[in-house]
Amino acid sequence: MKIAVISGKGGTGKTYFSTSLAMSLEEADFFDLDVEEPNGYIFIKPDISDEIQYSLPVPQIDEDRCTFCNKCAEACAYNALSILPQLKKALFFPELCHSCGVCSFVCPVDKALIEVEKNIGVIRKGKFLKGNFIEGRLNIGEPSGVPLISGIMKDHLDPERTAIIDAPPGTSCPVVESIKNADYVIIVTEPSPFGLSDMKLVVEITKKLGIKTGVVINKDRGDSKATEEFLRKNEIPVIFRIPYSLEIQKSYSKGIPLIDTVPGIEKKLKRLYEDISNG
Amino acid sequence: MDKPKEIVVLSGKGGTGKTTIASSLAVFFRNKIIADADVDAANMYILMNPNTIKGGEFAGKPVAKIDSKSCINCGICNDLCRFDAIDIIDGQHKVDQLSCDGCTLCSLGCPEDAILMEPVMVGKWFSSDTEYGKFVYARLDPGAENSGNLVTMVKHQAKLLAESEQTSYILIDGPPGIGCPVTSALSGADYTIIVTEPSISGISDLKRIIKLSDHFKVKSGIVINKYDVNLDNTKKIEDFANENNIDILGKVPHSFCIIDEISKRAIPVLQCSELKEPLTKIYKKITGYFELENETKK
Amino acid sequence: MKAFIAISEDNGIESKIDTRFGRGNYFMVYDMQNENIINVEENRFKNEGHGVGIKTAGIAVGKGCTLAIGAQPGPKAEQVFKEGNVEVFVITEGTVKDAVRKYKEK
Repeated sequence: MKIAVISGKGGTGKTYFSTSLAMSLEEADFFDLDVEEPNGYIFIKPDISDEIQYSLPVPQIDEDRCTFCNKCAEACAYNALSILPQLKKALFFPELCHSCGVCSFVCPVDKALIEVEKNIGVIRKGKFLKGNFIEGRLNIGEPSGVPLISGIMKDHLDPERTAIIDAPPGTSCPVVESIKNADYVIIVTEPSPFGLSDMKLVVEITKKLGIKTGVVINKDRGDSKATEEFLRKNEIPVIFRIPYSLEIQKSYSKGIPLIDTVPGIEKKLKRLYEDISNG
Repeated sequence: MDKPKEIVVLSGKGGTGKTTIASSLAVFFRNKIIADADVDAANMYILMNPNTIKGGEFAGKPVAKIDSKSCINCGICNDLCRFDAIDIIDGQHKVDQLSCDGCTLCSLGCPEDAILMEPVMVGKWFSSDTEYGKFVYARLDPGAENSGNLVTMVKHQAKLLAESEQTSYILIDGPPGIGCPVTSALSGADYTIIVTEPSISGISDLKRIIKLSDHFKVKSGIVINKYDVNLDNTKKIEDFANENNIDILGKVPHSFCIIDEISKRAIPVLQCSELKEPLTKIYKKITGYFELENETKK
Repeated sequence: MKAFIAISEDNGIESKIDTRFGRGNYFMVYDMQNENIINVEENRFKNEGHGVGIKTAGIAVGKGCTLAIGAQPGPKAEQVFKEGNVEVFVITEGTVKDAVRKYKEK
């Protein structure tokens, strides 16, 4: 079973929850797809065995063969190429390139524009007590983590094994990419109006994708009425609650997992997983 | 008139208190335009209580659409597409609009000219009035791409307002992370306030966002939120800041008052005394920095 | 010397300089020596996404301009100007007339 954990608002405890969920199971693989700021390793403490560079194809223009016809720059939807015919120069801006292949497709001159690899990030793999640990880490300066997320899901997901996927925060493309093939989505929220507002946005995504969803209310001070009302109206169950606790915050700040902070919670998380997988 | 100074509040890690700090600073800066550039999860409007003056829809990259009547289901589009955006539903090739990147390769490669690029509205922006000044914000539709461009749009509207109102500052609540929307928010900024928390995740993410702001050559200052949750880590952040010549602008304690005020949809500094002192310090340090800059120029 | 000027409206030499480089409403090509307007065209790229400055700079170079007058271009557009041997004169206030005068006075 593939369970993706999302949050909408950052800082609600998504990673804190997802890592402890993975660590509570008999066997599970943990995927850290929050590639801009991957922090799962802090709590999982894996033994890293592999670091795989992840690359994307980008154009390289041979100025000797190029006729400066400008077809590539005109066709590029991202303005990543600039051709200066009078000066016989071809400029490429890698930060804007989406590796789509259009430039290569339209270039009319043989071997004037070839595609070469550009490194955008790294995939770290290893093991922890319950299974495999796979993390994506985007290079600083890269505009989008979506291709890295997509690459990890395509090449490193074992469909036979349980996977807990820690998705990025937010409500846009990287979140969609991380959850679109999940069997179940857990939204970790907090009772604040910010948490509620962002949760409503991610619910729109899970509904659009048609994936079964359950909500964890973290930092609960008994003030989650508005959240619960919204969920009731949308027929989404509250599947777990974690009370607001300064002790948990302190523990979190030191990198101590939730299961090592709150006694009995490991059993509860295991039961939660069983409930989810039994439908 | 001097170009208005752009101050952007970032964090790296989400949830450290960007909006709390940005909205509270909006109370201190007299002469400014406020903007919420966290377009994926725009929350500032909840505290600012805006009256919309004008707004608009925001068009994302055009997405591909297959005309099923002309389509012969040859599958060339599927072979070409690098974003896995072509699905086959009941034998008919269709574009998955959520996955489509708008590159136009399928459209260029289609032998039947059956694929056209269609504009799609992916968000809305708003220019409004609030008790604390003019406020610009935007909302990206959930699942959409292009947040970087919408951030640029928000900044542009804020700049136009700053010119017509002749304000000295543009105060921007920025997005979390280090990706495209953050670089759009950083580009052209005069100062970035990085709000962090004393957790291992917070420190790790702080280092990443500092690298990014250095790359853009934007002056940074750090605010440590909930500093008293872990004094050891707070010291680690202070040491890091010293080693890298970055100002610690202020330290804010953990506060239930802040949580309570936000749940009442109110700007926290108005009621929470524990915020007043650190925020006054932050305000003075930033305005002091700009005054010094001006003096040095002359 | 041909100058490429990003303007917000088409009003001859009284046209206001646009506050944004690549998103100006119109582009003007101006003959600096003979002090006359060569042509003005609408900017069809002003609503594009990232990298619009790159396109604009490419157009300026393509038109044989060796001077660009207007708002501060972004770093990538600046790169194109550098490769294209185009001098950039940054000014965001006033009209084409003011900008040309200020450039000649400097």
